[in-house]
Amino acid sequence: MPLIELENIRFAYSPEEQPVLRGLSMSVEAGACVALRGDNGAGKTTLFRILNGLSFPQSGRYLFDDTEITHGLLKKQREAKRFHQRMGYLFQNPDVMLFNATVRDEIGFGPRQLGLPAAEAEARIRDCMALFELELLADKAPYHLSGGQKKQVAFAAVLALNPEVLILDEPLAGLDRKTRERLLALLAELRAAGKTLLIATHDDALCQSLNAQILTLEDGQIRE
Amino acid sequence: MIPAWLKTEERIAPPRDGGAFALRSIKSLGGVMARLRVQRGRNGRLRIPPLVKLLLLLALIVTLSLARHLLLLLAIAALILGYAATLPPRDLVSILRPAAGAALLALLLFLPAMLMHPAGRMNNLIVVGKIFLSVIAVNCFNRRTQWNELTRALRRLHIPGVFIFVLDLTLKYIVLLGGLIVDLLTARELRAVGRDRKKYRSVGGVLGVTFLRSTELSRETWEAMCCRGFTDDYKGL
Repeated sequence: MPLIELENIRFAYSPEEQPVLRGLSMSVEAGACVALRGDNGAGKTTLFRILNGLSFPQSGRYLFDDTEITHGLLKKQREAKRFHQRMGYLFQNPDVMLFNATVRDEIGFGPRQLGLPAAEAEARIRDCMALFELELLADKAPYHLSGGQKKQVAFAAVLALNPEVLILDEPLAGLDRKTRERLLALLAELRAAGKTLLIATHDDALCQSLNAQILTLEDGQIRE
Repeated sequence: MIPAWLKTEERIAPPRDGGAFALRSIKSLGGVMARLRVQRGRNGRLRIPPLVKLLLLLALIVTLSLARHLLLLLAIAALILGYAATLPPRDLVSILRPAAGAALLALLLFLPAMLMHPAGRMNNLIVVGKIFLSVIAVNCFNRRTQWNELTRALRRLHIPGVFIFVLDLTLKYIVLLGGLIVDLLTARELRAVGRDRKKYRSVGGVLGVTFLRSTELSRETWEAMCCRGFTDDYKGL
């Protein structure tokens, strides 16, 4: 049974506007790696917002682990939290994800929320900082970091929640070669660990190295 | 090499967590700010040029504030509600709701005075009516006029260019910062999967980042203007 299933999704930002998604259907198995492509404005970010329960389609059904994700369901705080813990979302613009005073606090926000014992939360923070080689930036304010560093801090903060599904909007955009290579290796490891990856990207190297299934978003629909 | 905990599947049983009122309020405020961008100012069946609309609005507000007699107030009410009736029902709701809210708030504020001095009750009710009608008129204008039309109308009224420029920039940054607040709070919400005992610390963080971003935006705009020949002396079109 697919972990994520979208059936005939139709979405427009307002009734006067042309719909961004027009009868979109797709399904993603647990542990799969899907690269989503499409022109600018094709609706990739909109699709990711729907997958994360931030926007809701005007018609069609979105099933996650056989549960229909609706506005009503996510209005229930506990259901919303349970869903968001399983679904990690890296925004295209990392600036909007960073609101804590230091990099350590930023990464620790998720583990603290999970109610992990202090030692375990601290270990997670350390592990995540090590994954992205952020140790030297631990006490710096995320706001003052470079674009690439911000992206890594945001990614580390998402990973600290240990989500089952990772939805990554252009994760390699704006990164230098060394960081790109490290991130590619990390994504391959996450894939091998059984995480489900959905990545919006125009990066051929990324699709090849992860052996990702490539889906193209065109005219509001998915084409394989 | 990824750590062992990242290879396991984790399911949480989130505890109850209340007190999100401030977060919701700030998010809805940010939403209102960000929505200014999609203000399209569609014209209703009755097409009035923006300059005429602006002048009519100013005249209406001045007349409303000077009106002393109930009859004049009723005549203005008929005019405003007659215009509002030409709008689609969906717009009507969003015009009338804030007006009713403002009138209700005014009524609550006047209530002690109305109870203690019954003689002045009619005057108080007239003021409440004026507030109701003023908010409807401004909302109708807002719904039916695009920002760029407003700018053009102000230019035709020979309002100084620098004033219009500042107004345009202000609106632009209200939209940008509103969007930033909404995005930051959304990102926070996605990671706030347990009980957050330090909610207000994150709210402080969001507002702090917004403040830093606003100062950075103003500096960047200033620098971009200087690069295009701006020398403190704004020359409007």
